[in-house]
Amino acid sequence: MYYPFHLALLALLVASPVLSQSADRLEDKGTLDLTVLKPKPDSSWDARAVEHLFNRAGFGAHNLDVRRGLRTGQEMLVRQLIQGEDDGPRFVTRPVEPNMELLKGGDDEERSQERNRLRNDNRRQGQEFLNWWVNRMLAGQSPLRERMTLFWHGFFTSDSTKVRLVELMIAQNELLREHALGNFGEMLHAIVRDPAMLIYLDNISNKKDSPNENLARELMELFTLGEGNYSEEDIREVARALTGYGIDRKREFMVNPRTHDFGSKTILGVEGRHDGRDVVDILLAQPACARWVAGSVITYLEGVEPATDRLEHYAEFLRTADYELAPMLEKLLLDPEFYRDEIVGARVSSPIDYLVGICRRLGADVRGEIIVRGAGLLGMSLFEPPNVKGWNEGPAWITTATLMNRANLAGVLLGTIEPGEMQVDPLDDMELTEDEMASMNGLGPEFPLDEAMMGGGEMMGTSAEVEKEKKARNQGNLMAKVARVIGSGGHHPRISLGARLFRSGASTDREIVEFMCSSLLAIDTPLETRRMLVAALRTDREAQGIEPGNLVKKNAAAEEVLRRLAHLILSLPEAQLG
Amino acid sequence: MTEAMHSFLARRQFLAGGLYGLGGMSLATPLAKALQRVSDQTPFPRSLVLVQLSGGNDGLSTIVPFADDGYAAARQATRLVKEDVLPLDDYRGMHRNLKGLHRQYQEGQMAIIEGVGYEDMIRSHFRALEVWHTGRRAGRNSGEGWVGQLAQAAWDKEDHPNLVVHLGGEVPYSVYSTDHPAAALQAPTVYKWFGKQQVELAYGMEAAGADSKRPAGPKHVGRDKALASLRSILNDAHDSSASIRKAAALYRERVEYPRNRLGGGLRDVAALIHGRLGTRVFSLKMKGFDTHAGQRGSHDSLMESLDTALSAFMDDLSKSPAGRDTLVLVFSEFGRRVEENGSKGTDHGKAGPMFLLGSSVKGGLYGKHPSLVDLDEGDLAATTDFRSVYGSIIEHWFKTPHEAVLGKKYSLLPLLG
Repeated sequence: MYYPFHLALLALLVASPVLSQSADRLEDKGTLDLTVLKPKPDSSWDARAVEHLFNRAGFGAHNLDVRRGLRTGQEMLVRQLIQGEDDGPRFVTRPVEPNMELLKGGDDEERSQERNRLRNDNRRQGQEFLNWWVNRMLAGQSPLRERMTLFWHGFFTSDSTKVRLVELMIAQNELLREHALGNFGEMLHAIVRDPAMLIYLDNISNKKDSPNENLARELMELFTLGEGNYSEEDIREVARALTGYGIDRKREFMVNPRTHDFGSKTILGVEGRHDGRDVVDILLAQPACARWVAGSVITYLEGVEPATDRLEHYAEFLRTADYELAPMLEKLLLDPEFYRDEIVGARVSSPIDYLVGICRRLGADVRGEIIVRGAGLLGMSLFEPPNVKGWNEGPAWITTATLMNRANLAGVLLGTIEPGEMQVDPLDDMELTEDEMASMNGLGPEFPLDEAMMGGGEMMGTSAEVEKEKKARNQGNLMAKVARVIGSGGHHPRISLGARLFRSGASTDREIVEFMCSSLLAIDTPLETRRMLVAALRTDREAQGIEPGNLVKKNAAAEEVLRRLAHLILSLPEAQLG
Repeated sequence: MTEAMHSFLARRQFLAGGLYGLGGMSLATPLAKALQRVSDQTPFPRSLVLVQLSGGNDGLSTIVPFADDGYAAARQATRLVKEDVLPLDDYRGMHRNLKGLHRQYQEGQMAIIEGVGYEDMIRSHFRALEVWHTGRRAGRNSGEGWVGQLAQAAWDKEDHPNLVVHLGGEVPYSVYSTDHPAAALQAPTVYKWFGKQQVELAYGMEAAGADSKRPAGPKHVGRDKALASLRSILNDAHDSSASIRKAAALYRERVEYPRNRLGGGLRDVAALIHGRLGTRVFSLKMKGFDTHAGQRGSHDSLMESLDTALSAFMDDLSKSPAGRDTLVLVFSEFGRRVEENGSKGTDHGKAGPMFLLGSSVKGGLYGKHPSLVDLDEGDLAATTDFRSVYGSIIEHWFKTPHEAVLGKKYSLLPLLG
C-alpha cells in the first residue's frame, strides 16, 4: 500500500505552517486540482534548484527533466515525487526450496550437488533482484520512493552474507519500499518481525534463559534513539522483551512461547509484561525517537546535520504527524533551507548516485548488473552494507583509490575504456591464474546454506564474515571481474554525443564544453574547470586534425574526441558532487 | 599551460618511462639486484602498522585465563581449557591457533598489554571506535583522528601523499585529517587511471576560483569547499599512483602470505615499506569479530587468519633491515561480556588485550589481567588506558610529545627495548 495522496494533503493542511500557506494559495484558486497549478513566480526556482531536487530526491536529471521541472513548478514537482507512480513489473520471488531428502539422506556427492544448486539459485535470484532494483532507479517513475528505499536499506541494514537466504533480503527490501514514504512506526513494527533482521541481528537465538542483546542494542542505538538516550539496563530489558522472536520452518515470523520471557520488564521507565510490540510503542513515544528519525533523513538528503532548532522543528512536526513520513518529506523538499548555498552541489555522491546519475544524464541504456557490480567495486555492495550502521555517506566515499576507480568505470560506461584493458597492467605481475580467480572471485552471497539454518535453528555466528574475508583477498580481481561482466554481456553504449550536440546547436569548443558540463554534471561547473576543459578539447581536436566547429559532424573520430571529453569531465572532482 | 603543469607532465612522463622499463625486466637482472642493494643500505623511516579487529574481539578467548575459576564458571560453549591454549604461564595462555604469535612472544618480540580500555567504556561499536580513533572521549566531535593529529605533530613538513596509507575499503576515522589525508588502496594493480582522457590536466587545481579573476561568490560556498578537498585527493592520487604500483609490483616477499584479506593487505604493506615510499602509518582492518552467536567456530578461524597473516608479515620483515623500523599494533573497540549469552556467543563488553609486535619491542606481559569476579557491569574492568599504549609509541617510537597528539598526558609503558 502506497501513501494515499489525499491523506498527505490533509496532513499538510493541518500540520505545517509553511505548507498551509501554499495550501491557502490552492484554496484561493478554488480547486485542489494540482495539474492546473502554475509555476511559482519565484525566481529561486531555477535550473540549479530543479537539478538539486532531482539529485537528492531522485537519482539525477537529464537536461530534459530539468526543463520539464522548471515548467512544472516546485510544489507540483515535489508532489509528483512523493506520489510517484507504481510502475513497472513487480519482482516475483521464487522460493529456493532445499530438497531435504537429498540434504539429509543423500550420499556425499548428492548433498554437495544440492548445496551447490541452492547456493547458485540463491545467488542468481539475489543478482536478479538487485538488477531489478537498480533498473527502477535508472528509469522508474518513483525515484523518491527508490531513493528512500535505498536510505532505509542503509538505516535498517541487513547483510545477505549473514542472512544467506536471499529471498528474505528481498522480502525486507519490499517491506522497506512499501513503507519508504509511509509511516515510520508501522515500518518499525514490521522490522522487529522481519525474518532477515531477526537473523542478521541474532534474535533467532535470543532466548529467555540467556538473552542475546544484539537486536535490542541496535534497535535503540541505530533505529530509534541514538546513543545516550537509554541505559545498559534498558538494553537488557528490551532484549528480554524480544526473546522468542524468530522464524519458523517456513521462514516466516513467529514468537516461540517456550523461549519468550513473559515476565515483567521496565523499559525507559515503563513497567509491564512487554513484548516486541510494546517495545516499539515505548520507543516511538520517546521524543528522542522523532529527533533521531528526522535528523537521519535530513542529514541523508541534505548532506550535513541540521542545526538544533531546525531539527527540533522537524522532530516536532514528525511526532505531530504521528510519524507519517510523506508530510515531513514534502515539507523538507519545499523548505528554502533545503536549497541553501551551503548544501547545493556540496554533497559527495554515493557510488550508486554516481553511476546511476551518469546513465540518467547520458540517457544511456545500461544493464542494471553493471551498476550493481560497479557500485560494489566502489564500496557500495547492495545487500552487503559494511556493518549494521550502513554506509558512511559523504566525503568518506572518496579516497585516492575510489576516485580513480570511479573514472575507470565511467570510461567503461562511455566505451572509452575497453573492459579488457583493465585486466592488463604493465606493472601487474601478481595476476592470478584463471583457476585461482575462479576459486577466489565471486560477488554476492555464495555460501553453503547451513542445514540447521534451513530448519530455522541456530546459525554459525559470523562465519559468513570469515568467508567474506577470504573472497575479498584481491580487489584487483574484482575489477577484472567487473570488466569481464561488462564485456561479456556486450556493453556497447548506444549513445551519440555528436547527435546530442547537433541538436543542442553547440558548435565552438567553448559551447561544446558548456553543453557537455551542463549535461553530464549534477552541479554548476566552476569557471577555471570550464577553461581547462576547453583547452583539453582544443588540444585533442587539433591532434585529430579536426577543424573548429566540425566536432558536431557525426563521424567516428569526432565522436571519440567527444567521448574522451565526457570521460575527462566524469573523472573530475566536480563529477563526484551532487 | 602553467609552468607547474609542464613540470608535472615532464615528471609524469619520466616516471612512466621508468616504470615501463622496470616492468619489462625480470627481477633477476643485475640492474634490479643493484637497485635492491642500494635500497637495502639507506635506513628505513620508522613506521607503525595499525590492525583493527572490527566488531569487538573476545579477549578472553584470545589471551585465555584458563586457570581462573571465574573464567571456568562464566564460559561454557566458548571456554578454552588448558589443553586448548599455548601457555604463557600458569594462569594464562594464547588461543591455540595463535601459533606464530606465540613463537613471536617466546622470542621476545611481542608485548601483550592486558585489560586495556578507558574510563566508563562504551559498548556501542561506533561510539567506541570513535574513542579509539581519536584518543578522546568526545570522539569525532573532538576533531581529527589520532593518526591525523600525529601526522600534524610529527611530520608536518613531510608533505607527501603516502605519509599515511589505509589498505582496504572503508577508511577508519583514526587516519582522518584535512592536512594529511590518507591514501587508500584496495589493490595496487588497479591503483591507476585507465583511458586516454588526460586527467593530468586537472592536476594542481587548488581552490575553486583561485586562478580566476571573478570569484565564484557565496552562491557556491558549499560546492567550492567540497571541491577543494576533492581536488587535493585527485592530486594525491596522481602523486601516489605510480609509486605504489611500482613498489607493489617490484616487491618479492620472502615468505608465503596466507590468502585472506589481512594477509594480502600486510603483503602490500611490506611492499610499500620496501618501496621506500616514506609511509609512517599503515592502517588495516579485519572484520568479523562481533560474535554474538556460535562464537567458537568463527572465532577459532578468525584467530587462525589473524595469526597466519601477522606471523607471515613478521617473518617477512625479520629477514629485512626494515624489521627493526616497523611496529605492529593490534586493537579492537572492546572486549566481550564475561558471561555467555544464550546463542553460544557473547555480547558487547569492555576491556580487552592489545598486542604490539616488532623486533624493537620489549616482549612480555604488560598491564594487569582484569579480575573475573570483580566486574564492571558484568564486563572486565579496564586496568590500563589505551592512550598509555598510543602515548608510548608516539613518545618512544616517533619521538613526539604525546600530549600534543592525545590532548593530555598519560603514564607511559616501557614497551620498546
